[in-house]
Amino acid sequence: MNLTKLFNRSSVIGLIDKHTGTVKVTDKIDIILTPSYYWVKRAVLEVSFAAQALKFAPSIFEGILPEGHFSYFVVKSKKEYLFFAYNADEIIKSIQEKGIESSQISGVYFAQNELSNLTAPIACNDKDVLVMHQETLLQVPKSLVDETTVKRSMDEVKTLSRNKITLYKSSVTHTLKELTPLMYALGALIVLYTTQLFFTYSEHEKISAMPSVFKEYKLPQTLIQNNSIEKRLRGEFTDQKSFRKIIFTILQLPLSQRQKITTVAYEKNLFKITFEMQDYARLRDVELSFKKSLGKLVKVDITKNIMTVKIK
Amino acid sequence: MMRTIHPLYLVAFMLVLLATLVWQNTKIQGLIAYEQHERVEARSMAKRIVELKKVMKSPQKRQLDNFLNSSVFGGSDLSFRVKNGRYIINSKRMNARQLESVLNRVLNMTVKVAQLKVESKDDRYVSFYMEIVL
Repeated sequence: MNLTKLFNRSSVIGLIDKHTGTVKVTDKIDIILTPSYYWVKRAVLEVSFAAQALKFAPSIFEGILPEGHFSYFVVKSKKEYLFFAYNADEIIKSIQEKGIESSQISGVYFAQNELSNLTAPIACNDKDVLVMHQETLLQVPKSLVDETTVKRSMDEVKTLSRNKITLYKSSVTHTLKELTPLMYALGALIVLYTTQLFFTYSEHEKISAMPSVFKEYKLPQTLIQNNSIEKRLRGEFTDQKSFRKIIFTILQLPLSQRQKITTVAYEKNLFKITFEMQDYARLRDVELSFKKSLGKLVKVDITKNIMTVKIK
Repeated sequence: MMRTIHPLYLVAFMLVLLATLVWQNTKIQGLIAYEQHERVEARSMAKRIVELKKVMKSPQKRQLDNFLNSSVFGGSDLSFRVKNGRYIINSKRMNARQLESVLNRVLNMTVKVAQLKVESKDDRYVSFYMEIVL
């Protein structure tokens, strides 16, 4: 395995092959996978973008791939497209076996994309080397090349392309299997809340369709109108109650033989009571009697022999 | 490049969907609670208004006519008529018994008295004027 510590990178780059032994990673690693992990095919398609070409990937690899669940990756190269097929689960398993934690992986790349400028064979394990042949990176036995030209490090690789592949299992993702219980739970909750929403909505519709309460009681439709009616009726009721209390109090007034009421007049919540007596100062006793009986209901004023009682 | 929908995206979508459902449920339940409360309040107000209307109901004109036509008010020079939606009772000469009788009867009825004037004429008689809202 070749590890290159790059000058301006916090992670190392590692060329990983199926036969690579245990790898010791202290920080982060960008993994370049050798062709032992993937299948590659070239095709010219009448589409503009790699994303559009991706849907043709399964048919391009049809009959070539062994049994298993494969993922596809497409890179546009001049006028043609490079199609990659890889078994993500197998790659994950292999990487884990080499002692690399998913949290240590910064990115995973294909050697085809990262070593396209390869000028000399580069060793990828004890037996094989990677060579460029007609723009395709091949993994061949070491015996087929001149061993003196074989490079053992990846010093040439300074930067990586943007063609990072996504494996299901990484530091931030989970397998579908692991997420299944969560998805079931969420699905159950969604069904539950959808059912509840249906019933809640029906209930709301039912309440909204109900006739107005005021209509049942043959009252005006709006709350403002009814507020006003209630206020007016309550005011009238209170005034009439006070009116009767005052009349009752007038009839009960403790007047002496020489004192008498000459006039009682009431209009617009105001009583005017005219007394006839020798000493009008004694009206204070009558006022006290009023206040004692009616308390906070009235406001009493006295001018000479006329007592004004206003209902509050 | 994604080869298929990533499960985490699906989980995220489900979470968003669930959150939307919960939010909608809460919102509609809030609306239901508000509307039910409004209906309870409205019913309570309607009952109060109906009760107040019962208490403050307009007097029966015939009932007042019958009462004032009784022999109790003989010699009181009593007149009663309806004018501008008001029942007006007028007497120029009413004794204490007649005054007590009219006050007792009218004030025990659920009527709205708009105007009242009792004026002493001499030691025995008073003049009486009352307007009742019909």
